[in-house]
Amino acid sequence: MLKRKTNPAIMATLICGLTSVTFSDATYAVQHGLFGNVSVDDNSLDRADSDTFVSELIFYSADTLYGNFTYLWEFEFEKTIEHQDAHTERFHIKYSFADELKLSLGQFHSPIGYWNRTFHHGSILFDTVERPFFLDFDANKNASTVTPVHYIGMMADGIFETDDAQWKYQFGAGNGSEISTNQNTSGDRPEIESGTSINSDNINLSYHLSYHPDEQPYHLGFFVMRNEVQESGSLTDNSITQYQAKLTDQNLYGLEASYKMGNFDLIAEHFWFRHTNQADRAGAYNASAFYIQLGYQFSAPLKAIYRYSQLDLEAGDLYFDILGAEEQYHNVFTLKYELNEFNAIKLEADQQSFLYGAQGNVYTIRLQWSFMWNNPLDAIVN
Amino acid sequence: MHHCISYRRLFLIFVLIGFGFSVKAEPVTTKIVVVTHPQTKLEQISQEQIRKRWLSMTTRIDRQRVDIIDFDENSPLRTQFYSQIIGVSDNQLKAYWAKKVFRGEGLPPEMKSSSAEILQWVNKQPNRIGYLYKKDINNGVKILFEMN
Repeated sequence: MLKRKTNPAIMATLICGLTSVTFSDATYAVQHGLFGNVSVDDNSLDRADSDTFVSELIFYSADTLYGNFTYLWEFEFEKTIEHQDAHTERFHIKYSFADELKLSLGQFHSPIGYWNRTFHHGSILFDTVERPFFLDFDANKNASTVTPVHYIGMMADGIFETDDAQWKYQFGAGNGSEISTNQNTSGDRPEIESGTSINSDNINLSYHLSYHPDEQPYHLGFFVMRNEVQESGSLTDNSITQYQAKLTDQNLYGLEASYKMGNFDLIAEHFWFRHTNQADRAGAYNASAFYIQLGYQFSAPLKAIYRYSQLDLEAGDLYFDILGAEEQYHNVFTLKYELNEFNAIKLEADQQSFLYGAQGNVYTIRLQWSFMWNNPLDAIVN
Repeated sequence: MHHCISYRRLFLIFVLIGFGFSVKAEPVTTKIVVVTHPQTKLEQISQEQIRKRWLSMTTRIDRQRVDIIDFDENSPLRTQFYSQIIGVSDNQLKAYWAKKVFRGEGLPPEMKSSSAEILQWVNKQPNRIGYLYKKDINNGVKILFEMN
């Protein structure tokens, strides 16, 4: 997650300016809105660093700029007990040559897996309170952030339609990820972040392909990523290697599927990691992570969800050691009550078990109100 | 007095006849049709094809790429079109597009504010389709679908 602090006054000016400019073309409606949530949780560890109150507010805006040029901007405000943060999550400008080929430049969600592309932020979009733990991006939660969920660079994407199906692809190329291994005094875990410096030894290449049959309630997908992870800390602050030196060559590939039958729906993803460490701890290591999530819609507003997720890794893998990741699995049970199209209440119980070590089970209860608000600035502008 | 009652009866008869005509005429005047340019190589499309295209689940109908147009959000015809043909309410449509835009899956269709503008847009080139009240169309467009 990028943590560039942004002045709220500048953001307000940008938002209002953007709205007034795009509203000058009356034939298009600028799409802007808010996604947000307010969450409280408590866990059996009573850890000092566990968040007990989190609120997120995500503003997005998208529109046609000119002809085939469009943009998408996503900006997040986050407030927890320990910190507050405001940063751009995504911003890209896209040119559509055809349905089969669109080219974009900017900051993106990595095209890996189903969850990261489909839901990412905006918790009302998904059924549970928390994302699968290995796809989370807040390293300070009771989880391990191990997946490079953002990158900066370019993307080519498109859709090919056959008689009975759609094939969707995304190809990404950009900067590899960065991790600062500096010793910090705050107790925050290091995060894997989008690389911001162009460096020939630090690239990220990714490809995602999915198959969506027309009359069938399922989809299948596969993805692959080559991600070169470099140091963003400095030796003077005790980083393990020098600034911009390579930490790990990461090869990541996986499979995904979704299926819907009657009141049931299913989502599953499997990631395989292959790390070749480049710093002082050379060697190659394998790891894997997966989740399977089953939902049952009782009646129109009430849905029950169960998810099992697991991370397996080899001891000595520098990448996971830096990120503080441990082998673990989660059993998550959620009840989601949709108040209407724009509001939902979720109650979640999470059993986290560490496969090794003395921590045992950690039980967490979460309660969340998630919401969305479409085109809220219309009322102000009009 | 006698004349007065007759006029009153006569007035009531006219009102009832008029009401009868208006009730009978209602479905015709508000019937929605989906139309296209006469040179478009489509002859008939189904309600399901319309639903998938207007929700941007596909950009093609019968393997032909077609562009669509929408009425602006204040239009009663838009509300009627989406509720009766697409099967979603205004709020459901708003939520649907918010999610789709946020996922980077595209933008809603271009919008026009009047039937005349829709007709003009459809008439401009083949492979454009729009929806209108049947009473508002002219001979310059071809009907692909008519709501029963």
